[in-house]
Amino acid sequence: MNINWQLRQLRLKIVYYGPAMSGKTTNIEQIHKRIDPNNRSNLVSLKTNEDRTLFFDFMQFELGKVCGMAPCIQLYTVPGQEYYKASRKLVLRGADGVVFVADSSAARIGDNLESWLDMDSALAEMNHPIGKIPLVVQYNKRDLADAVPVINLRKSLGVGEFPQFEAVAFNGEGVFNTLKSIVNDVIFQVQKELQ
Amino acid sequence: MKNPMRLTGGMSIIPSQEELIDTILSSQLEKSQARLILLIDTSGQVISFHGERGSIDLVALGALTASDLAASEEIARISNLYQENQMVIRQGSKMNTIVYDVNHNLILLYIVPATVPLGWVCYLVRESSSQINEALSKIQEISGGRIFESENANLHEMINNALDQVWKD
Repeated sequence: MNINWQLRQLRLKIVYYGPAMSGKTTNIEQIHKRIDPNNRSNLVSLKTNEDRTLFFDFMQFELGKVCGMAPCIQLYTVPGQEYYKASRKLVLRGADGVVFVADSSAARIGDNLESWLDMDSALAEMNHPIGKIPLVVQYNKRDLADAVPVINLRKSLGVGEFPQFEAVAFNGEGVFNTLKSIVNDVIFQVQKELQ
Repeated sequence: MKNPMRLTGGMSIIPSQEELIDTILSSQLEKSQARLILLIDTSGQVISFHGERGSIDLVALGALTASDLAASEEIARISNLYQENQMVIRQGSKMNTIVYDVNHNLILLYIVPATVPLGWVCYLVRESSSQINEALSKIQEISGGRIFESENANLHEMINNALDQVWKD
């Protein structure tokens, strides 16, 4: 978070976390596609030759004035593969909020849990344990034939009272609701912190 | 009220701090003959920019510079070589790039022609870093209170309206 009182700008960082191939980059791509180009930056992607996220994907967008302040939101994804653990921790630095993108496929339940625990430990290391940082959970790929019922996904992750959304990020379904929820939560957290 | 400079997860820059930072970096730009000096926070958000912007995408540059330093610091940590105030130097045939860890919140990027002696530039980077730290620590002005002067219910509606306005279905 970065507040410039002169320009009345509030800059916030939101990180999309989750296992490999769960749809984090797809979320950002959809957001990039659907946000007015006048209000957003280019999409920066550091990818491998196989088109997988190597370090992060990044974009920024601006909201118009809200009560005299101009919120500017930065979105990052982390690389999901296990061996990029160190990179994930770096991307999480300075995050004001996190979206956890879970894969609804029955075959990925273990990967979701592993990634959730990895996030839990990385956030705890940064003194922002789960529960203290705004967090939204997205159950992506709800269109899959083997999609696990949301209630089971919730149980498997042990997700508590966090806002949760179903999504098919590939066609944009659920992407905006997830974004709205995390932006609201983050701004309210900032408001609370400054009071 | 908290110190306006440090928040749990970031920084709050008040106008007098911003003015001081601008003065420091303007002077540094002249002394170093830099093409560009960028001050960002550790999450990559741009705080101040001086020099020739040209067609440079500053938002992307900020995000990549922060990540660059974070990755270099992590390499140093893993190799047991980490020290405070890490400096990453890239020497090129035409331009040199210096990324410097000012403190745990701020990062400086200098892009300087290769004709300017590198040792001199490194000295200036450290000098500006000290000046920035000094400027920030001197000012303890109180600013603000609530950032959004609105009741929570209204604020929620206003944020959603602002998001609806930038979103194309």
